[in-house]
Amino acid sequence: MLSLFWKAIKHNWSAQASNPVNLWSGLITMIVNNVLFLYGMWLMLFAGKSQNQLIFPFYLTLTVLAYIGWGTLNFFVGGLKELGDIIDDGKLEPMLGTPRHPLFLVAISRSSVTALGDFLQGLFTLGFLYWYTGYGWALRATFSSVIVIIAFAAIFIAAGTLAFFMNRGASLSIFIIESTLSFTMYPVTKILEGNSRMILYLIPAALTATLPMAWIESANWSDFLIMISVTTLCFILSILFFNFGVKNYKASNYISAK
Amino acid sequence: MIFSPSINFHLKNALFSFKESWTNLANSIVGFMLFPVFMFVLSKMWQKFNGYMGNYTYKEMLAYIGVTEILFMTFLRTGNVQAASSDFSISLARPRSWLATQYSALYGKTLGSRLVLTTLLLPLLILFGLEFHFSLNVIFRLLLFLIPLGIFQALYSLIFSCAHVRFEVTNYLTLPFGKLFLIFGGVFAPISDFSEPARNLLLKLPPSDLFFQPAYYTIKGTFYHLTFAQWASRLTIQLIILLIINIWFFKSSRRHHQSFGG
Repeated sequence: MLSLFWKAIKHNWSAQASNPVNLWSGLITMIVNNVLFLYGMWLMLFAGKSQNQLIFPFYLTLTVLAYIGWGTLNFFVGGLKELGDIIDDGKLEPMLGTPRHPLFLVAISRSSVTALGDFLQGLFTLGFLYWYTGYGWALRATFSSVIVIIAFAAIFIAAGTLAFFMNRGASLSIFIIESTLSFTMYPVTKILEGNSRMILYLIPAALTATLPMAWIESANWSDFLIMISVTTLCFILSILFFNFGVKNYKASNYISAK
Repeated sequence: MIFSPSINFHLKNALFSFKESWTNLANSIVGFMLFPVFMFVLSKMWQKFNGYMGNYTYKEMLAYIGVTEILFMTFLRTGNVQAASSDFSISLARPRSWLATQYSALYGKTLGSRLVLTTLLLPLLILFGLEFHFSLNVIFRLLLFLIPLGIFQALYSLIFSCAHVRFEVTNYLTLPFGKLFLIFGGVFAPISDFSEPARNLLLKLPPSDLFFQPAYYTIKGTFYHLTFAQWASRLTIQLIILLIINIWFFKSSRRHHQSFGG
């Protein structure tokens, strides 16, 4: 399985590298895009606003989690984000007849070169965090980034699996994934107060932002254990959900054959 | 009289593209699902970090974000840009100007999709707890802007369509270019709340005339530190520059055009 995984990465990469203009323009524009976004948020929230400066490391850490989580996943196993579309378009059917798990085949079927730009941006910001916040905070951010990769994978799988059960499942999946990214990129955990904070634990961004940031800020063992156990549980549940979807899947050409 | 059949054609072309946005309302609504999420998150974020300035109320900010998001979500759509340049080789043999045909199609599409989103904004504003009268005012003022602002959206998109005629890959270019408008246009938050010297500089740039000033007008009823005549004259200058760029870029792209296969 591991050898197939590396082969898929190698072939996806060489396919993208065969068009260097496409590769470099995609990579560079994604980095420019991310830097512009960061600059815009800095202008809006921090420039000349001394009372907001305390939030600055918090915001930077959120971007690290989002860029590394999103970038790594979309570069190495980019097919997971497209799961809903793959099911909708009937591209899953050929994968069901192979000895490999269909989810694995979906995962390695695509790779996004622009996601490498996200990943590099995340790494660069993480490096800045080591200088700006000190080792304790930055180390927790590094470890949380790895956990967020698994969290994003769980969300991609669960959201994409919805396409098995509903007509517009692929569109709903995109909505869930995009809104999770938005809730991760913006410092939502700092803006909601009172009862509305409960929302932060009920949406998918709880896995990618709320729980990791709670541990990074508190450095508590309890927060750490909650983050690890909830993410692991959600990841396992998402795979079980996908398996359940495959079991009950009726492909369109199967119906027409009948 | 000589131009009337041509004008008729382009009007019908724009109308056809306009109707296209209304044919699949279900898809438009699904695409609209992220809209309330952004309105909620960005307004709350503004309230927490910039609310102390007191320039806007939370409800005004909800309407502001709603308006800027409508304008931005329909700005430089990659699909429209690429669709406009897909038939270029064939269009060389047609008796119509490619530039004018694509412009009228882009304008119709922009106006259509913006009207769909504006129609959906009214119930959303009421759902967020804004007064009916205020919401109606916002929608009415926004409607006044849709026709002139569509002209600029179509012209900016046409530049990228011309680029797509010349270069094989251009879709990556639209992303950072769109981001420039997102940031410098005050889509996230009003430019008036930015600190100096950024505020002064951004107010002088073209994106603020296309996003911030119209959105500010929809909620306040006036432009920010600008009269209507000043805003209109700035747009006229922008229009002339965009026309020149489009014509020059089109001629240059036509000379260097290569068909990259079917």
